[in-house]
Parts: sequence; C-alpha cells; structure tokens
Amino acid sequence: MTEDKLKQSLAILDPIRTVELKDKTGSFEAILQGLLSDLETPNTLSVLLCEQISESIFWMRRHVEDKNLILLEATAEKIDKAQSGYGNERSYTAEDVKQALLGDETLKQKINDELKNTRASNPVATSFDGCRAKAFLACAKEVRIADDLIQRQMLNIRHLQRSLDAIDMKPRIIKRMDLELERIERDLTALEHDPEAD
Amino acid sequence: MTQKQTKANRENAKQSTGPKTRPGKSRSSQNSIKHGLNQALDLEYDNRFIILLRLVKEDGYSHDEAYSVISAILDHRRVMEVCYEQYHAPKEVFGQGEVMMIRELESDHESGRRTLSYNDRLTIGRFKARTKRTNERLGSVLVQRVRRLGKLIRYQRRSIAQIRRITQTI
Repeated sequence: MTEDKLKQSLAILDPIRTVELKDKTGSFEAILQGLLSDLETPNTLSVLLCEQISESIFWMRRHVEDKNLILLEATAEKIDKAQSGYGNERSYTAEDVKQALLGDETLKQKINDELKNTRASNPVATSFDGCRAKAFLACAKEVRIADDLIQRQMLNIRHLQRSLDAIDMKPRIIKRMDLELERIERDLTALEHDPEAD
Repeated sequence: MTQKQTKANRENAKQSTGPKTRPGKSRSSQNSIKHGLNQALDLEYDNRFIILLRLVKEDGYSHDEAYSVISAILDHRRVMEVCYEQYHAPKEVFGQGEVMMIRELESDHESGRRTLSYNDRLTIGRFKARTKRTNERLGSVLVQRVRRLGKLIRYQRRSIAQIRRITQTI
C-alpha cells in the first residue's frame, strides 16, 4: 500500500522536480521518500509541498551541523591562540575539540597541561573549558544567526504542513459532503415511499 | 596585455559617460544585482511554470487557483535557490593577490635579485598586518556562510507566508 503511494507520488514528480540539491549523502531523497510514502491522496500540489518540506528538513539539519562546527572551530582557534600567540599553524582542529568534548579525557588533559605551561605569555585562557567559554563569546553573533536559520526552517516546515493539510483536507471534505448528500437523497426517497407503503 | 596598456585602458574608461545602446544599458542595469529577490517574478519564460500549471489544473483546480499557488511555490524556489548558491559560495579572502606578489618580492630579496629598502619592508609589514586583521574579521568559511544566509531569512519568511496564504484560500 505504502509502496504504491510512493510510486504514485514519484510518478507525479517524474516530469518535473522543483528541488535539485546536489546532495551526495542522499539524505534529502530519504526524507522525501519517507514523506511521499505517508501521503494519503498524492496529487501534484501535495507532492510539491512534500518536496519543499523535505528541503526544509534537510536545511535544518545542515544548519544544526554548521552551528556545532562553528563552536568547535572557534574553540580550536582559541586553544591555538592561547598556546602559540598568533601563529599560522594549527595544532588542534575542530575534530580534536569534538573528541575532547565527547569524553576523550587524555586529549583534554594534554591540552590543559599545554595551556598551563604557557600561562605567563597566554592572553586567552589557561584551560580547555576557559578556551571554550571564550569561543562561545567570540562567535555568539554567528551562533545567534545559525539559531535564527534553524528557527526559520522549523517555521517553514510548520507553515508548509498547514498548507499540505489545507490541500489534502479539501478533497476529503468534498468527498464527505458527497456522501452526506447521497445519504440525504436516500432518506428523502425512503420518506417519499412511506405513504405508498401505508 | 602590458601593464601600460591596462593603465591606458583604465584612464580611457574614466572618460566614458556610460552605456548608450539599449542592450548595453540593459546589461549594465544588472551590474549591482546581488541576488535579485526583490525583483518581480518573471514566469513567462519559465518552463517549470507551464508544466506545473498544466499538472495542477489536471487535478481539478481552476486556472486562477493553479496560477497563484504555482507562482507562490516558484517564488519560494527562487529564494531557496539563492540560499543554495550563497551556501556554496567561495570564501571571501582579502588581499590574496597582493600577498602572493609580496611573497615573490620577498623571495627575490632573499635570493639577491632585488633589494627592498627599509620603507618597503615597513609597508609590506603593515599591509600583512592589515590583511590578517581583515581576514580575521571576515571569519572562516562557516562563519561567512552563516552571515550570508542570515541576510536571506526575511525572503524565506515572505515566500512561505505567501504559500500558506494562498493554500488556505483555494
């Protein structure tokens, strides 16, 4: 049943695709197919709206990843500045910071020890957590923008869902009204027949 | 083209009073466009519009309903396509060409092919410091990307609201 709906929806998308993301991970397609298979009565408009919703979900995930990366990069940059002043070479990357945050105590201890040794000439911070706090402050503006972008995608999804509901509800209401009319007509004929039966 | 010719061309261009012909004026009118999202949507030559209009009408919607909803969706597509472009735009770097030129000058100086005076080295040092400051202010690829996309939020808000409004009425 679900497979049929998906095939039907993909057939609608065949002549034209409005969203063309060069997404190598295939996550957009996965989201889209998931949404399309849940459609009750696929038609062009509902499929188009599903495409837009999938895109918004895709972008929301991207913005969340970017926000985390901004914080990790800023922390790595602060650690570097604290260690070597303003050198060009990076000793720690965002990936290292991520590992330390995910619980690599050895790496965290190593960074802390290195920062303690440079305490005299270090204008930034003397611990990993200190660098992280400074990084938060330094990129607060960008993080706020990233939050706004995530919020925007969430609102986009909500509005598109409402639109999809409105599109999807209309045929259902018409069908219900048809059934209602049919029932009234049946009742009416039944009433007309009553006196004859007497 | 030699450096002299380039200089002469630039000097001559300063005497120009702008484009005269209609196509020239039309071309130069596009010079300062950043993303074009404030311009009206031109659907006349959009193939997608024609195909979608036909498909939506086949589903039982009237011409006006189909027209308004498809234009709203295509307007949203225009916004999202600009967002995609801005997301993948290359990193903005200040003074990249000049830094390469300075590196050449310095290597020439080290190998003895050229002599840099004290003032030259001072100017180079100042320029390098300025480049570093400016590039730090411009931020990493991620930061630049987020800033660029942040400027497009209001266009997304507008296009989505339009889709919602139209779908509620049809």
